[in-house]
Amino acid sequence: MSQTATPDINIDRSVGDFHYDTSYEFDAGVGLSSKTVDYICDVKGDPQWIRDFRQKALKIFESKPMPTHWATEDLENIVFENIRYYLSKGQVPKRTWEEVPEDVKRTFERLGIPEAERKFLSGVEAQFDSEAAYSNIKAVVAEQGVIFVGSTEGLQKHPEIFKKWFGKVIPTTDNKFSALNSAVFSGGSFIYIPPGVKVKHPLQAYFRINAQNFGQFERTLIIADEGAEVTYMEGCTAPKFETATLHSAVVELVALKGAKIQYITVQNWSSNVFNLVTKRGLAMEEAEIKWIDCNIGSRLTMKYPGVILKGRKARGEVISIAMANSGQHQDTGAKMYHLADDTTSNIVAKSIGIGSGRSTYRGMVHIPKHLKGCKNNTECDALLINTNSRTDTYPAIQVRGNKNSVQHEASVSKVSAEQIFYMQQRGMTEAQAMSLSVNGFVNDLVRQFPLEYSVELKRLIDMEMEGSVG
Amino acid sequence: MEVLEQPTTAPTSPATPSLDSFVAPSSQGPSWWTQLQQRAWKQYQELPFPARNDEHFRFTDRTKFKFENLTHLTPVSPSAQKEIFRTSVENRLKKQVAGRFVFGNDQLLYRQNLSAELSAQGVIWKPFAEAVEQHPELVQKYFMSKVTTLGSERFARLHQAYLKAGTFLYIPKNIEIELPLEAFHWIAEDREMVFPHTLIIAEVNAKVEIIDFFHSVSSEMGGFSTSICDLYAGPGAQVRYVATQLWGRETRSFQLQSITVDRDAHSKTLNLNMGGAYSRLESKSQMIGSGGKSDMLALTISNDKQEFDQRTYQEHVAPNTNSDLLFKNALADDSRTIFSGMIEVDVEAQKTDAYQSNRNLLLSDTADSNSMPGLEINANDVRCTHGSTTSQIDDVEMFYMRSRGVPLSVARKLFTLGFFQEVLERINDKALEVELLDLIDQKYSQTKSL
Repeated sequence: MSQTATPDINIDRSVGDFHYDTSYEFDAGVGLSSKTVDYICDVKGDPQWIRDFRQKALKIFESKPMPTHWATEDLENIVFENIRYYLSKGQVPKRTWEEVPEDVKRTFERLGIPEAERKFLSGVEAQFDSEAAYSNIKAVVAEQGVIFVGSTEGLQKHPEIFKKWFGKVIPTTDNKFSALNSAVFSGGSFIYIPPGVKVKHPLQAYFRINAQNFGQFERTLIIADEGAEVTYMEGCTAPKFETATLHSAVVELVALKGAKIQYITVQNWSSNVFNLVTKRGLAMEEAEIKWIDCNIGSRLTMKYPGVILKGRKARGEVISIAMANSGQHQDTGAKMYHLADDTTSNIVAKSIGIGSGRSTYRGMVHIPKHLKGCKNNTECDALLINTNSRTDTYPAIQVRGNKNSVQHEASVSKVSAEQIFYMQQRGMTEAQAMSLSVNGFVNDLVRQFPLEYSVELKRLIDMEMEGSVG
Repeated sequence: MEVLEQPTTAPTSPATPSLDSFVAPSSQGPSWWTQLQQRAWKQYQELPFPARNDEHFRFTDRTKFKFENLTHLTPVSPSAQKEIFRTSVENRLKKQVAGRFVFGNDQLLYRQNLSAELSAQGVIWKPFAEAVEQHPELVQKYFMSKVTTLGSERFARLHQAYLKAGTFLYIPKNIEIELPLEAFHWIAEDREMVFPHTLIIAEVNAKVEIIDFFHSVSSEMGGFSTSICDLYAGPGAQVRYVATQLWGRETRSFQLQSITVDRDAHSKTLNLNMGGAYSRLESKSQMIGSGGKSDMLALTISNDKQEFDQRTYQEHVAPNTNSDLLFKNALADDSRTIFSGMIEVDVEAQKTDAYQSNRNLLLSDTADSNSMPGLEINANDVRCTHGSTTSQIDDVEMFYMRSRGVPLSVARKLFTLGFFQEVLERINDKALEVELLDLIDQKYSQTKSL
């Protein structure tokens, strides 16, 4: 119980604290009603079926209670009447970099999308508030027939694919916040990869919240046709505001026979954001869906990426890193629904609690009757830095039938005093030693991120530790 | 004998059982006791039935909650008495015990009191009703001072209001009882309800072992039981508590245990669960003194449409405490098990060492196991782990046995017993291990599908 071994670590968030004035051409005002939904439909020029879909979703949202019988009471602090549900510069996605407004560019630069990286990346879609501000796919990807557009453009220009899968993986009724998203969604990506196409470079989108009390409700739908492969990355930073903002996205992935989708998230919202996200993938025969999820920011994150393993030999994986500092609650986890024979899933979750931060793992593994050869492996480890850090684990494992096997393991520990002592002996400061230990704890997971993300992640972890000890 | 009113309305939906057909029980004893029971009855009526979305009842099949047409305190028929006496006493003459009570339908049928020597040392071992009369100060201090927090609060109050039978055990400082104490609770009539109570108070450095047996006269019987066991292990005390449950096939039961472990004390509990249609076990250990340790063990064999609903809690209040839980389930046919465990480490409880493990062996392709091993850790200098596995008998191993001419059912039983061995060994008592294996055999002899 020595206090020296568990120093108070503060996050320097000022790095992400910036905000440029922008004039909002379309603004749905504050609060949510069926008029707001109509307004959004009018502005976006939604077809009638989307308008009906949104209105129905609004009713479902209103009828569903807050899930506080299992989730944190903090949810009660969301004041839905004070939130702006739609905000846009009225832009259509820009084709070339030159056409992007100067102030938006400045925001991106601060976000750190370097020139060199842009060349490497095959396409950058940066969401500025609700609409895609910039969307450019390298000619080579477009030539392969890959569609990479905003969700609005997707539903207007590619309705035949969009309509088939939209809302099919995550039904509106899934939970209160997926219903909310369904009612007011704007922005997000629509991606279609034709059969057999393997997109070499990751597709990337940056999301930002840039207005006070403005909830961001992006909706992403990714479809990888038979044998296709794609990696999608999203990263989030948000300027800091006085009152809480709400971010409630819905992400649906569809991997058809033999397809592979990897979805990577680095979430670093400022610590006043409620980040309530529903993410789920549908994996058909021999398909593979992998969620790589890293949560560092936000006040409360509730996110349980899931995979519905619908086809034989489908595979699902969730790799999750969560870091909770004082005032933060990272409530993350994974869901695996095995619905076919020989499906396998793997969940590895690591969380770090700093200060009075609280990290929670919530999991669901479901294997119904009469299946065989299903396997699941779950590991969740928590590292607690300070005496008042907190961690919880709430897995639920449902297995029927004697032809499947499931194993789950969780452990909680602290940074070993011997390790810190050893490193300090070799001339490192306590903070450096702590930072190295924490990086070591998550290293095997960080290595699974693409290079540029793992570098960014390491930098973020160092930032958390920066100036924290001594 | 008290016959419960039948519900006058049409049968309610199974999710909200007609619990309210229970009528106010009669209460005997000193006035403080009858008042306490009446208050409990009131509390029972005021408490709501667990809501549908109550996390404590997650995965529970509430259609199994059927509590109609139950009777209480039905006299035990001579033939049932004979059967009870044969099993509980005659067949056990070889086993040396320090004391034994046999209850049938909540009525005391047989008692073997403590030796004069132990009584002289101040050990108290009495039927609960006698303890209420003779040791009011002890009963008042300890009786249900901890009420379950794991969902069945309402049933705990029902138990408190109806309580007639049970055992009271008090072991003074530095007294060690070598031989075990036993209590049998029989349901001797179809649709009978019983409310067995066990209160164990072990003072400083005391040592004792106590076994509760829950049986029905016939394996077909229905009925209802809400039993409570409260165990207090004072500083340095060593207490072992074993509960074996082999209720009749149609019986619904709620078994609530609370274990309080003080400084350097060691409690070891083992639950052997085999009978009943719906059997719920709530077991909570609280480590309130540094150096305290609680071992929580359970074995469950389920078949047919049985459901075993197990909720556990390991609360580490004081620093330097230890808890180790191992619950093993073997599931056949369409049976279900639910394991929901929680380790809670309080802010002050640094240097906690806690372990929680749930292992499920699925023996049929329709058996259904649900596992929710949980952790809530508020201190950082701890070692807390939990594990849960669900799997089946290895085909290769089975093939080996079959190829050596071992019949399928025998091989399966051998593997199941092998799976249980780890738990049985942790009791570290050969004689008791054999006794428990005999009981397991009894379950096997009742069911062909295992």
